[in-house]
Amino acid sequence: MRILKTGISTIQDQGRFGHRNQGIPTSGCMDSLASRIGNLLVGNEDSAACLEVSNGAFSASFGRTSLVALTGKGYEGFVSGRPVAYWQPFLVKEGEFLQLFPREVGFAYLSIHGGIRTKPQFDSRSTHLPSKIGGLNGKVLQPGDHLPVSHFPEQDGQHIMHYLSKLSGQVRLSPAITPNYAQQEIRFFPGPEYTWFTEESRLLLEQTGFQLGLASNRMGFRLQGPQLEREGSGELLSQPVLPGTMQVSPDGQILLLMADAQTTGGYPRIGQVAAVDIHLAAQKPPGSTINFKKIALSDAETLLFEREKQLLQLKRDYYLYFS
Amino acid sequence: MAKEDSFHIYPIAESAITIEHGREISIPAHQQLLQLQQVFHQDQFCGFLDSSITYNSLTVFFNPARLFLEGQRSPLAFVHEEIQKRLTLNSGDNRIALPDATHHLIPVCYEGSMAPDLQAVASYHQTHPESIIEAHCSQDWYVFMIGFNPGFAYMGLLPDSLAMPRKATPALQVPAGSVGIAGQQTGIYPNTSPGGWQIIGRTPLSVFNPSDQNSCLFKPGDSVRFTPIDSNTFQYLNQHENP
Repeated sequence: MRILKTGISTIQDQGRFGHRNQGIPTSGCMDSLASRIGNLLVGNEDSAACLEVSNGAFSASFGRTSLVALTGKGYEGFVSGRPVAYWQPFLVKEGEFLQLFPREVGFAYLSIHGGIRTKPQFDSRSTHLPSKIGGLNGKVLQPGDHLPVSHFPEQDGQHIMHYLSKLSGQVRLSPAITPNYAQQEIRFFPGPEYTWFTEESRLLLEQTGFQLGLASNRMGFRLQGPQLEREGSGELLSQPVLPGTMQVSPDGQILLLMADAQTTGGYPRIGQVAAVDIHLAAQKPPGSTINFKKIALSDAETLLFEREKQLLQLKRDYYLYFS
Repeated sequence: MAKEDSFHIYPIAESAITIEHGREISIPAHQQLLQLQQVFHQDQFCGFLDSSITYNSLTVFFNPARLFLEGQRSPLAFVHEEIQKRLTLNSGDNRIALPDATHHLIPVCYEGSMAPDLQAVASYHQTHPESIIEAHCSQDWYVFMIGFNPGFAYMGLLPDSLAMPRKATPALQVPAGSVGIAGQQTGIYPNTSPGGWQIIGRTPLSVFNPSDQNSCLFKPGDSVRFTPIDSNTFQYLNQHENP
C-alpha cells in the first residue's frame, strides 16, 4: 500500500503496555471502538494495527487486492470514484485508489486484512509522535510511504473476500452496535481527588456544559467551563494518569487526557471518563459541548462488560455468516 | 517500617488499581513498593498488563476484557483480591529482595548557555553558582520514578539549600540533556521539550534512546551522582549531536 496524499495520519493499534515504568504512554487509536470494529470487519485480531486518518485529505494506491473497512467519522470515502460506506467491509482491487475527503472533524480508521506490519517498538506499532516511537520511524505518514501489509489472507479473510467478490455481496452492521457520535453526554466516575473540590464545583461539573478548546490534540483536550474550586490547597505528589483522566489545572479548568497522555501528572484528578465513552469524547470536534454525567464505578464496569459481550457476540455471528 | 495496613488500595479506572503507601516521600517506603512491583512481575495474575511506580504509589494495569472472557464479572474485585494476596504473602520476613539497582555517574556541564537558570538558583539561595554546583554534585540522588516524558527520571530529595520552585512561566524549549531543579526534585530532560524546571546544566549523555533495547538509562531505585565537566569535554562527549 502506497500513500499518495495525507493530512495527519498515523499507524495505531490498541496501545502500548509494559513500559509505563519508563514513562512511555499508552498511545493507540483515539477511537478504539471504531478501530476494533474495523479489525473485526476485515477478519483481524483486535491487536492488528490500522491507519488513523485526520486533518486533511488522504489517498493511497493498493499493490494487490485488499480487504478493507472504513470506520470512525469525519471523511467521505471513494474507491476509484465509487463511494464506500462506513462500517462495512469492501475490496480495493489491485491498482485501485482509495480516497478520503474530509467532511467534518474526526478520526477515520482504515483497517486492512492482515494489519499493517511495521516493526513493533516497545511491543506495539502505535505511533507516539512526541517521542518518535512506533509507526513508521515514529512520524506521521508522508506521501510516498510504503506500508507493509500481509500478502497471505487467513481463513476468515478469505471467506469474506470470496463473499464480497460476488456481485451482490454486501454486508453492513446494525446501527445498534456502531457508535452514536452525536451523543453529548459523557459518563464519568469520581477520581481519587474528587472530594478535594467544593460541593458547588462538583455540582457544576454535572450541571454545566463544557466546551472543547481549540488546542486539542492526541494528548488531550482543554475544556472551557465554570472554574472548579478546591476545598483546600494541598499539593498532589505526581500520580498515574491515563486516557480518560479528567485533571483540573490550577486555573480551575478541566484537562481531559487522551490516547497520548503522559504517564503521570500532578494535577488533581476530579474524574475518569467511563471506558465505554472515551471514544465518544475522542471524536468531539473543537468548540463542541460535553455534558458530564456521574455514574458509579461499578456501573462503568457493568457497561464495559455489556460492551465486550456485545462485541464478542458480533464477532461470532459475523464469522459464522461467511463460513 | 510501615505496616501492611498502611497500604491504601483504590481503583483509578476500570483497568487500573493504585496501591498507595504513605502520603510523604520516603526512600524505605518507596523500596517496599519496588519489592511489591517485583512480586507482580514474577507472579502475574490473569489479565496483568503493566505496572508503574510513583513517589508513594504503585499502580497495576490490566485488561478487563481478558478477565470477562475468563468469567469474571468484576475485574476490579478480582484484581483487588490478587493485590491483597500478594501484600499478605510479601510481608514481614517473607519480603523478596530489592531489585538490582544501578549507580550512575553523570557528567554535567554547568557553564554558560547550558545553565541558563544557575544564577537565578544561586540568587534565590543568596549564594554563588559554585556552591550550587558543589551541592548538586556532593551526594547521590535516588531515582523515585520515571514520568512526564519517556525516560524522564525524578530524583531527590534535594536539601532546602538547593530546592527551588518551578518557573512561573515554563520555557517553550528546553534542550535535550538539560538538568533541572523543581522543588526538592532534580531531573534530566530526555528530549527537547517545553518545561518549567530551573535549568542549571546539561549532560552530554542520552538518557532515553528509543532505538536501543535498554532504551532508558534510569529505573526507579537507581542512584545518581553528578560530576562537573567543562564545555570542551561536553562537546567531545555530546551524544545528542553525534548519535
